[in-house]
Amino acid sequence: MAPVAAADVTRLGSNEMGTLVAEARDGDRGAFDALVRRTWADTYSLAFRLTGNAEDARDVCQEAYLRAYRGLRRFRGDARFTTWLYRITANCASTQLGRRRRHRHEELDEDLELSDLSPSIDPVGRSESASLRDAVQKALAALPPKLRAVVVLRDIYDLSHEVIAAELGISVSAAKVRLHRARHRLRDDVFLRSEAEGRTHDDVDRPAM
Amino acid sequence: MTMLTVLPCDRLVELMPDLLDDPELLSIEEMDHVAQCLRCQAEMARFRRLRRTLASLRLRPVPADPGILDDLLEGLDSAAERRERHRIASRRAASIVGLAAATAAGVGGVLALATRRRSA
Repeated sequence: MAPVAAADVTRLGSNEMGTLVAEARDGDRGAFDALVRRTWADTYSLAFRLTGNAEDARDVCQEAYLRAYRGLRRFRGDARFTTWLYRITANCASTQLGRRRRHRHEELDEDLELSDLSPSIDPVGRSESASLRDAVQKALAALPPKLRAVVVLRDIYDLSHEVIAAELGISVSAAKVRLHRARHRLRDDVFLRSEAEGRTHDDVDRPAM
Repeated sequence: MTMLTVLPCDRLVELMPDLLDDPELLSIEEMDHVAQCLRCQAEMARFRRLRRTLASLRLRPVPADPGILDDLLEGLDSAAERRERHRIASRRAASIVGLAAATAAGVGGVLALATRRRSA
């Protein structure tokens, strides 16, 4: 079965998803499989964005669905199933990254100094271009995992600060600080660094003058 | 001296990532400054574009090997089998414990009866 994108999952409607969740909660494996088929591409995308590599994303995805399967009876349905699944995925990714760090004895370089680049004038918002999207994805991949996790969960998956903090095992204020730093670094990488290298995303889509 | 020269743009730029979540962080004076300062407006526009672009990624799944779905479903099958085996084993253990308890109670009852008869 072809992967279903997040947009399609949304289009399926909460009723259909709700029915599948209710059936799966009553022990219907077929219904749970249907939920997996409809959400796996989105869950894998989140796992990949959090871990930064395909191998870890695969493991995180597997663990997330196993936990969801075991814990489905505890899902009260007061949040959307996909949001609940995002939380589980974020938690699994956090565990996986912690395990990797312990194994590799890697230090996360969170305190890297930001480059002192002069800001320049930016024309006010236009539609996002493919090149800007690529630049953002590259900058995202270059972030330290701890910073990347919060910005992915907040700005891409729209989870609240409180939920992010709970799933990553940090305080709400720590989550906010990481988000602040992540956004600054993304802005530096996407706009200032590219400008310093002679490319600019500020001019993208600017109408000919 | 005008307000523009007094208010530090650097401080406002530092606040901008947080303004995406809470636009009311700025005082009225600071908002007036941003309304007149091209540099601050440009920076704000950058952060907003950044956030819009990030949000747009939500609708663009990362390309994935379709074999992942099969692995996920297989993993769930194994988990379900393990759970079923565990359920059966638990039920069997409970039956054995129940049987043992019943046997013990029966034996105890017979012994008690025999003891009472002997003493009578």
